[in-house]
Amino acid sequence: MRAAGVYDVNYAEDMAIVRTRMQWVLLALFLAFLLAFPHFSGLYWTGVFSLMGIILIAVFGLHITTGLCGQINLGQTAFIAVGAYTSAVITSKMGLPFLLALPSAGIIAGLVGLIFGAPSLKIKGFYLAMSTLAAQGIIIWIILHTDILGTAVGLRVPYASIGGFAFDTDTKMYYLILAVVIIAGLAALNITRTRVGRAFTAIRDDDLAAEVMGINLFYYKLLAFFIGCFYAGIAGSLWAHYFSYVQPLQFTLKDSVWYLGMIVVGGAGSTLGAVLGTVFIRLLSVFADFISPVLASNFPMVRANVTYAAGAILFALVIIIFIVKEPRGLAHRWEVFKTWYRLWPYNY
Amino acid sequence: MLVMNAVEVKYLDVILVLRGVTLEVADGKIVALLGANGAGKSSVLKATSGLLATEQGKVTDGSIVFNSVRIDRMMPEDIVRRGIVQVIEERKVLEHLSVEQNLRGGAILRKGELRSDINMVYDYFPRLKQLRHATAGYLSGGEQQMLVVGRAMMARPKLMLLDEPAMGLAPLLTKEIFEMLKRYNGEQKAAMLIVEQNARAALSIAEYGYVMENGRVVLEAPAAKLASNPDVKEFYLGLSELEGKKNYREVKHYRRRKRWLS
Amino acid sequence: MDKLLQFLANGIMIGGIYGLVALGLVLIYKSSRVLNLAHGGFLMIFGWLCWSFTEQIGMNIWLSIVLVIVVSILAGLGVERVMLRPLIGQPILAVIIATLALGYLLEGIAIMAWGANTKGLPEFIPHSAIWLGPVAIPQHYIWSFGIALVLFGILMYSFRYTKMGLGMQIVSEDQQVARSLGISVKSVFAQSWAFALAIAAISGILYAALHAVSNFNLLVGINKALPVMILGGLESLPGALVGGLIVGIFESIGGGYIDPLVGGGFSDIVPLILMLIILLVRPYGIFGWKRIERI
Repeated sequence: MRAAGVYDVNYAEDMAIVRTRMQWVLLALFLAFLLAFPHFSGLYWTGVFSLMGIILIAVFGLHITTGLCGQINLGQTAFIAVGAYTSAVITSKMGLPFLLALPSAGIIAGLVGLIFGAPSLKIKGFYLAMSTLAAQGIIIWIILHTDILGTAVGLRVPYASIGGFAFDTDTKMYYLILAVVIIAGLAALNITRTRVGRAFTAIRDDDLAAEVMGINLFYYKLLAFFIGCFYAGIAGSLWAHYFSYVQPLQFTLKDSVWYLGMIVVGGAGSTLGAVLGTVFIRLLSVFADFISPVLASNFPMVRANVTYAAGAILFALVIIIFIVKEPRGLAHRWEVFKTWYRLWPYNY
Repeated sequence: MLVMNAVEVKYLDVILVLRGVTLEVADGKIVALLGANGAGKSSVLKATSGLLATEQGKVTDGSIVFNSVRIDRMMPEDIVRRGIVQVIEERKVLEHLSVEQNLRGGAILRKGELRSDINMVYDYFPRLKQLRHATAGYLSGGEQQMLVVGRAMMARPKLMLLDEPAMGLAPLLTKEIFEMLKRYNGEQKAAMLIVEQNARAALSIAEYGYVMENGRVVLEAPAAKLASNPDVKEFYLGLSELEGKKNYREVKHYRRRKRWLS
Repeated sequence: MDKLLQFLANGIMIGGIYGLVALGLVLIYKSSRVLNLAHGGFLMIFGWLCWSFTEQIGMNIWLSIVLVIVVSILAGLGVERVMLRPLIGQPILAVIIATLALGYLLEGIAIMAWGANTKGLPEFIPHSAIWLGPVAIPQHYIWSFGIALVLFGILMYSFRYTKMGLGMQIVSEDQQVARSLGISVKSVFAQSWAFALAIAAISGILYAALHAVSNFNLLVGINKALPVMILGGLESLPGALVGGLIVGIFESIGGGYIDPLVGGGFSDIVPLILMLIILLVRPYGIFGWKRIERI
């Protein structure tokens, strides 16, 4: 629902992402805030938001595959792993520059994604999700059993560096991640108004009708997987250089599930939803981790396992309550709020 | 038997669909509800049968009374128990079940032996008897329509609500189904409220008719008078008083002059 | 040859349990189209409860079992009322995430209440083995298998021949149509959840009796039961049994012969590999319902 007085006079305006001057101003302020953030937030929160940025990139990818195109991907973490290990191998074992490793990680993860997306020719929906689940298991199993990839011990990863400038502090990594997140986010937002994006939504809503209209299902489904896993690969590369080591245990099924959860909690099919969901769940997770030692120190008579579990329980409980109360996600709630605000005191 | 009084229906709390609809279905009579797309006809049926709840709709004003009991706030399960059965639009059969299982499903609230009822349905629709073990999802459109009507018959309703039974069917098949409905009404004395775009078919078996537009009833009369009403003929039966080729500019001005509320 | 027969026998026995676990999943999916990813969590918690009643409180084992089943039925009704009912008609992805979160919630509760330990249930079925020719089968395996078969029989009969079964099938086809026929979708959901969790309780206790009570039992719900469900067909009760047997047999034989070659752990991915194969070859499973699409 648009604000009163906002109308379009040509197609370009109809397609625009940022419409009014107010929106531009808000956008600029927000960007300024993001840029200034590390200077007043302290190292801990810079780290929190850096990790959140990396995850956000992967979630954008999942948003394209699952939210836009409707192909449920339960193995996103495995594709992040592929990107992470690719970047690790290229920079540490092959000694090639980071600027080469980053896109390569994306491409290779995308190609692996094609392999596991191939069954989408024959199966859909839930069944496809199961095959991505198998992908999660198999990819990690392969990493665990391959020597060059360091098996269970993992690999050490050098700092990312572009032309001699090394991203060796958290703050520097923050800016690198921020840059990539902005580009990735813009691309994800933009894709909805391109031909490809329209094909994706057509497939999501009714793939039979889409095929009858002339959309090549196989090509576009594979493309959705490729793009989604490409994003995961980029996120993986940043992950590797952020943590400075990669190890199979970093990439669990639990995470894959939570990434999907971020899409759902934020609102499937909406780029804003991907952002809101990621921020919400990550902050919740940080809070849950934070609360366990606090409980432990305030209630020393309670056993350790209780305080540890309390965080996890709180986390799960909030997610459940949230989904039951607003299954369409935060983005939907926001739209309803905006509509209510603009219509008040009228009903319709 | 069924009295709707100034009923207002909203979806999602903000979409106003019915703006004060008043209509009546007498015992054992067939009533037709006509109107263009989006007039709110299906919502009238869903408000009566309680299925609004499944689409996030609500009756926000007015009352619906069936045999002296207010039903507008009841759950669909209870309304079916009272004898109102709706045949939903778009022929929703239970796809993976057989035809006979579908019919049994229709009578799920009833106790006792169903064999005689099933045979009665086969009597009305002999085609279904041939197909009784077929998987419902693979039937043709006409057969599926017969199945959903038969399924409704199994519940021995006092009032049957039919939502566009002729949609997407060949003219001969439409005729067949409407004849069956008339026969059923005559033999079992069940009242019917039929929503239909195919005004001619509906008016051919109905005794009374309402015309709806934009959420309101704009015309009501016994079916014969409705069929001969010049406005109805013009807008719903495609017969025009204007000669020769249809001049749409004239039609537009004519409609504007008629001003059937907006 | 003897080894093969032994593996086969073991596989069949454990396959019965896998099938039983999958049965609970199929029941919920069949009636409400929800994939209950918390099933493993329930399995685990009911095993713990049984242990708790017998070892910590000192109840008689049979009394504990009955009590746990009662608790499970109440839990089923509760979960359905609190979590599932508000989610009726909402996007299916939301429901899946909700059940997943529920599983983790259960895991957290288990850790809080009993720590991350492994305990054993008291022996209420003798563990001694019976010899069938060259094959030794522990008695409690046979009993578990038998119980699983009986439960299967009961459920398949009621689905086919009772009104309740037909009601569940109708609700799983189309909820709006079900309501238009007068079926109370809420009651059907409540019934299926109650049944499914009772099955989770029974299979959880049986599994714990065969192996042990531990938090890892939760994974059975996902790693074993899901492949079984896919193999057999998501909506098929007999499929769950057949799928369970197949997974059990292949896991046992595959693990038995290949584990020594790769140093262990192969039996864990056997169900996953089977699942992949069936997804590519016949995605609806052996007995699953094909999607009927008409243009």
